[in-house]
Amino acid sequence: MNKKILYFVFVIFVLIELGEFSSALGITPGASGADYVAGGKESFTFTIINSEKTAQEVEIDLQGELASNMAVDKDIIEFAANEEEKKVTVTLIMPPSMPPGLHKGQLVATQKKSVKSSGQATIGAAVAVAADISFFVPYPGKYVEGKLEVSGNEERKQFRIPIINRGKETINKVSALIVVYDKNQNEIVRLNTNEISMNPGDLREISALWNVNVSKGKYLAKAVLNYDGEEVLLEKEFEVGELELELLDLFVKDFTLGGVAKFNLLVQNKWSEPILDTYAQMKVFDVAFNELADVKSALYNIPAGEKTTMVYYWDTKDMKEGTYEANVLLHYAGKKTQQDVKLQIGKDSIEVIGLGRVIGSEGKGLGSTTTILVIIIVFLVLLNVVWFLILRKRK
Amino acid sequence: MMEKLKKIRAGDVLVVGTSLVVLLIALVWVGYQEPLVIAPKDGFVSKDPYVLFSIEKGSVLLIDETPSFESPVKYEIKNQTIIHLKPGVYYWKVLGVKESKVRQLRIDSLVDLQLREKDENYQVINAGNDELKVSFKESDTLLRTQILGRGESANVSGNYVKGEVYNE
Repeated sequence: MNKKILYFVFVIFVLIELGEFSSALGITPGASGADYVAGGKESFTFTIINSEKTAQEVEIDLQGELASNMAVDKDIIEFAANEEEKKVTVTLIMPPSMPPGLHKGQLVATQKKSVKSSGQATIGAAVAVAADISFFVPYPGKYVEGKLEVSGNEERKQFRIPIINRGKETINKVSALIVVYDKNQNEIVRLNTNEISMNPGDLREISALWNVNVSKGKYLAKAVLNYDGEEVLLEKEFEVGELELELLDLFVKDFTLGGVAKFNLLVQNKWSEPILDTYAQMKVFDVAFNELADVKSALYNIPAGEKTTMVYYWDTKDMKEGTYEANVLLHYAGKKTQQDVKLQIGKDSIEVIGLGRVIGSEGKGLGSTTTILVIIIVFLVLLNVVWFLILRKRK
Repeated sequence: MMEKLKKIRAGDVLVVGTSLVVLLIALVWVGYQEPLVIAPKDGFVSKDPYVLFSIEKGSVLLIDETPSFESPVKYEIKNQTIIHLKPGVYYWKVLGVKESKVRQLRIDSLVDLQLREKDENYQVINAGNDELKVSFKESDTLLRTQILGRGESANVSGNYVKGEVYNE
């Protein structure tokens, strides 16, 4: 009988222990790189993060193509309870010769065992986090890598090609001819980008604008990237009149801590047709990424081109003043867009941090005040010169 | 006649003098109008994706991934604005009456996985600041991989979970 009671107590104890189970491991930066120097030596420092501040052992391992060229200063890291981070240094000896291209290795930190304050080792899956270490061996001669990106709306599309010079030589002229095709492979328009020059290792961009004059639908852009006579073909499928909901603002008015907060999410339908049955979702987390709230709005139908304020409510009962992480998600037409923000909760206010007010994303531009000022000064100087010349003539 | 000449010369001096004074004042004024950047400092590095821009005498913030600002994102700024940036290297400058010099900042990716027990299952949560490729293994056998956005979670299968930055 006593054995049964003891067993029952043991099971309850284990269940309670398992119920509290959680573990965490982090590494930063998640990727590091260096320029390739034959036979060169490079050191990289990474921070291993014990975000839950539990006593645990972490095994450090090197993996991947460059594993045999790397050495790490620690094989095991021991975190005491309340220790949050420790540094690890990896030394990479670059081989004297390597084929051109990207070469990569990984530093992997794996939880060996974690120990709770009661002294009990936890069970469950081992968590590992990895950071990439890489270098790029330049191609002999001239060589570029580029990617075609398409942005903009139904009226104007911007074609951008970020380019990196992966060769050993300077490229005097880089430009592209972009040809847009419809779904039947009919040519719609030809566009020429600007022309630039690039030194080895440079990352630059060329672009072209298109004033759209076609019906909605899917299109294909083919860019022939020309660099000093060499050519590369880049392709990108895109839509004219694609479904897009843009998050413009998020704010809370008339709030008292402990009460129900009314969130106003201002969105704009950038499509030419109504977007139906869309809803907003907000998840709130504490510093340890424990989910504190998961709230949703009602379903909204947003007319074409219109701005709508979507409303959702969050009961802040038991919440304390402070700053919390939150994800704001927009669900529409099978798509999901996410915006990460911080909520700064005070006694009588919730401030949304991190959105920033975007006022444009295309092309270059100077501040209008500067332009006005330059015009005024030039005008004044010219006026005085003219006045001076007239007076001279009168003389 | 001499009186008239004197008047004209005085007029000349007045015109030239006024022009010079206007130019001088304008130049001095413009010189003092360079945006004053308080934060972040040039070369700023952080793993926190929320960056505080503290600026005086500036109205527009331009952020781009290339130093030549070929396609920058323009933000309206007040004295202090916090902007969420994905991990990467950014170049930025401020426009006001004058343009500030170009500065650089870097947001380091943070790979952070948290394992929790939920409803008798284990869940792994992406608590970092970047999109992660998460691999689930059972004794060195790969069971599956899943892409997790920031704050997203997935049920754990196997006895080993590895997270790394997801590169498309």
